Amino acid sequence: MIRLASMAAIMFLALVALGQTPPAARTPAPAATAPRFEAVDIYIDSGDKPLAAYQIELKADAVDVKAVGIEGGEAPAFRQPPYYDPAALHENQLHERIVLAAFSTDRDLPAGRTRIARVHVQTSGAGNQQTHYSIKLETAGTSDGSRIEAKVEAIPVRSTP
Amino acid sequence: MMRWIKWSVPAALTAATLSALALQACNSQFQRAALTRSSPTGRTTNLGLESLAPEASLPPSAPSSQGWSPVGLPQDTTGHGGSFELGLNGRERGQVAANDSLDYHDVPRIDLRDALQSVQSSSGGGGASARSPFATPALGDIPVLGDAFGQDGAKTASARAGWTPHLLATEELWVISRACPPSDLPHDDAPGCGSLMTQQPDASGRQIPVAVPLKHTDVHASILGWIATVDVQQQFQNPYSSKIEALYVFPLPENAAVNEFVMTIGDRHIRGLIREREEAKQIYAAAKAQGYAASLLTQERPNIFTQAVANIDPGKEIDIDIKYFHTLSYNDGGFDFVFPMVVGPRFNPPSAMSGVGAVARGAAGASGQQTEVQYLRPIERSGQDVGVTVDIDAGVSIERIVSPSHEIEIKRESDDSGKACVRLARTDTIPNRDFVLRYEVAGDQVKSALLTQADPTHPSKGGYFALMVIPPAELKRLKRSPMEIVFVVDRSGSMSGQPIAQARAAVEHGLRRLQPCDTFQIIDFAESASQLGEAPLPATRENVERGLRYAAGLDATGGTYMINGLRAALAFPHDPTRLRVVSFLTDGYIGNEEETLRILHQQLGATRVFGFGVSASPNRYLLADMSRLGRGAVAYVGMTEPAGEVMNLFFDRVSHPAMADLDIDWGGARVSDVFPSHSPDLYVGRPVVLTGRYEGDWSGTIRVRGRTGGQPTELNIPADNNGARIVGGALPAVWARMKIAELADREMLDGLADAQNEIKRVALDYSLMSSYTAFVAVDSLTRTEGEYGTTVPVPVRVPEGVRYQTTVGGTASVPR
Repeated sequence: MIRLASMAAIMFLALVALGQTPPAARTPAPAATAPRFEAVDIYIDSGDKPLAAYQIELKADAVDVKAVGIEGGEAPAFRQPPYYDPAALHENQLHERIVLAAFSTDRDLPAGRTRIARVHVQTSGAGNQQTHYSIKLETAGTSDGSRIEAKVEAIPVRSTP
Repeated sequence: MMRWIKWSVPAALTAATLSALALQACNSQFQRAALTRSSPTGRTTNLGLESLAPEASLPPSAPSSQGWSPVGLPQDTTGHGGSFELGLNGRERGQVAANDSLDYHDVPRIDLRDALQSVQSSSGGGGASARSPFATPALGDIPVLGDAFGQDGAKTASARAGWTPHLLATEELWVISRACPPSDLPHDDAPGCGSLMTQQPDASGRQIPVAVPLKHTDVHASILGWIATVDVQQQFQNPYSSKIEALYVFPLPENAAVNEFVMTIGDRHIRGLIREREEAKQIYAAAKAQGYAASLLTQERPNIFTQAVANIDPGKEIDIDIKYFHTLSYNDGGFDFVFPMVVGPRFNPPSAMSGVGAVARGAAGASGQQTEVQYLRPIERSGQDVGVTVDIDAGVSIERIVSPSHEIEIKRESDDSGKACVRLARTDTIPNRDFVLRYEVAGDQVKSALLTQADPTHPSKGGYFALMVIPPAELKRLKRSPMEIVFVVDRSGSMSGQPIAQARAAVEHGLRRLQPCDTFQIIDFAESASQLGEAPLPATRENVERGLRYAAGLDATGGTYMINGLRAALAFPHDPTRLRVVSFLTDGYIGNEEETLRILHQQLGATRVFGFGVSASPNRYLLADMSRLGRGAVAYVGMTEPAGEVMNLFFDRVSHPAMADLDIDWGGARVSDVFPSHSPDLYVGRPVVLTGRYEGDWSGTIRVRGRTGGQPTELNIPADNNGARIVGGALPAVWARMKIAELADREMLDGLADAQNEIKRVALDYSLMSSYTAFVAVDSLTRTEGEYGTTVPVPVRVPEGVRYQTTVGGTASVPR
């Protein structure tokens, strides 16, 4: 009887050790296979001209990058998130292509280098791999409709753990 | 133990403000009774009564009005008061009206108990065996009842207006007080320990506070002509001590084109993107698992959506903004703007695998359905409220603005202006019934009209249009053929109380409008279908009286097997000399809508189906589709609206032949992709809206040709796209939404093979919600700590007038 009880106790302890994990303490997938989330900041340098409207195209060089959120910029005039072209987003199944556009009727428009948007992405690449993006400024203009010769850049950002 | 207090009311009581009282008694058990009260403003409020639970049945020897036994008060020592019910026993008055759910949340239970105690003590006490009568106070002397109804008819806890019921001799008013058992009270109602509970004290009584993740919903609508642009902001909060995922199942109009989604965290706004549904769910799941703030919006039905917001840290807020467009319906002289507030509790037949479950708060998974709505118990209250603002630019002068559902505040530029701003009154912000706003314009101002919008990507190549076709005035002068009218009444449990009373009243009005050349049938259904006779009866006086008695006896209980009622209505042989009209009176609370619509489509034949939504929050998707597929029209009967008026309008509609078999000559424009592809019939008072794409220029006249009573009819509409233009993306979204609806129909009814892919393509191209697409947003820069947050569904109230006990269930489990 005592031997039976000991065996039962050992079996019980073994079962506990083998994986009776409380539901609240689920373990996330290993980092190598789980998708990652990161962001890309989009900057436009309009020089000394106040920026009122823009349209840009952003492409990822990797095939496993998906846009999962589009955030507004740092200047109040562009705090609201820009619009995206849904047809452009879904036309290419391999490489994500995002066309963003926004305009502002604010009186206080940003000039110089300003972050006008942030694109949040999901990627399946390994954690130490940097995703590369190409970006094109399709147009930028002032509030009276004059075109601005501006520069655009995309700078990846990692989240704060 | 439940005890009873009863007063016997002398016949000499005078009626101060009550308008009507009716009762149905059955054997030894109260069924239900109706009290209505008319306010000085003319509003009629159905006070409603609860029918008694089985354990509350009268003792076998129910006392007569000659003597009665005061039983005393419940032994309630919890201090939580409890529920109470009013019951009436007496002779049937002839007209039976059943109402339900006196909303005793507004009524202070403690005052009732105090009042009863004072009455009892003033009479010298009274135990269970006392036979001497109490003093017979006027009911208005009972503070709780007086408090419930203010001078203006609104249910205000603080208003004190005495009122007395008008009762016939031998009628007796019972007040049944039931203590709230301690075991019903949750002790730990939230995830985590020491949680901050949202407390919503009211002025007069105790409520059980329920912590909810949804704090407030703000709705702002802009109406231009007959197109509405609506912004809905949902403010989620975490009142708990650990992070949570909030889950909220909510309704939107069935024709809403949802095409914008923004998540706001602090001062950061993140626009969500439209993705294929499964892809969006995977993105959301991955983000949630890794601790990122994320949100997901999915569609369960054209009018039911699920919002999920993951990783809300304790004390933090995340707002979700949704934007949609939709066309307003124009009915009988007025435009209706509807914002649905709550999903009614659905019945899912055993065969339904993808229904919408209705469960008690905390009983997640109890229904076995993938989509579930959790409902607060009658004694529970959350702090969730709603604000609604509607800016109207009608384009023509507005004669009247009313809301049959809510108290509103109206601001107009001038009396004859076409512009107005309407707000929901602050005293009426509980989201337990659809918000309905109607604005009326002079009949001759509303004409068939064309709206256009250039394609934003290729403006020179044409664009999108919407055409509203008003029926020609001469339709009203034509007389109808003899009709065979079938009234199909839903008498399932969700219809118990006010809804079945409204349905009965509507049928009674309908029966009295029949002409001798008509025939009629009454079919009622719950778990099975019954009918008045084997075949439709000629509308003789005797048969109509028979029908009235049958309708008066309709009771509501059991499940909603609408298919049984549908089959019974369409099964018996059709009289070819008559126009068969089937009018469905139902709240539409079923989870197997697709199966029901499929059967209707298959068995329709020459029948016309008209839907009447009888509820404060009917299933408008089901009712609109039944009517559309049935080549009829839909109307809604709210709980406070006179059912007879709605039925009168219905008879006006069917009493004149429709303009059928429409064929449209579009004038100079080249038109394509017009939806609906088969133009509906035009009924008096009911225009139709067609949308499509065009190229070239509109010129000349659009000619709408059809047949009315077998005779050709023509309607001419000026075509000029230099006229009304819409900006802001509304028309492309509306057009795409109608295309998706048509594809979904063809998939459901005809099994169109590639419909799913086509729906996805349209929805993705136009950034629209659909069954196969979803919005997702992830904040990749904010990662919360710790393991999975607890999922907290947002519980909602059952719609006003719907009984919790006969839908969600009276034995709701205590939340874990």
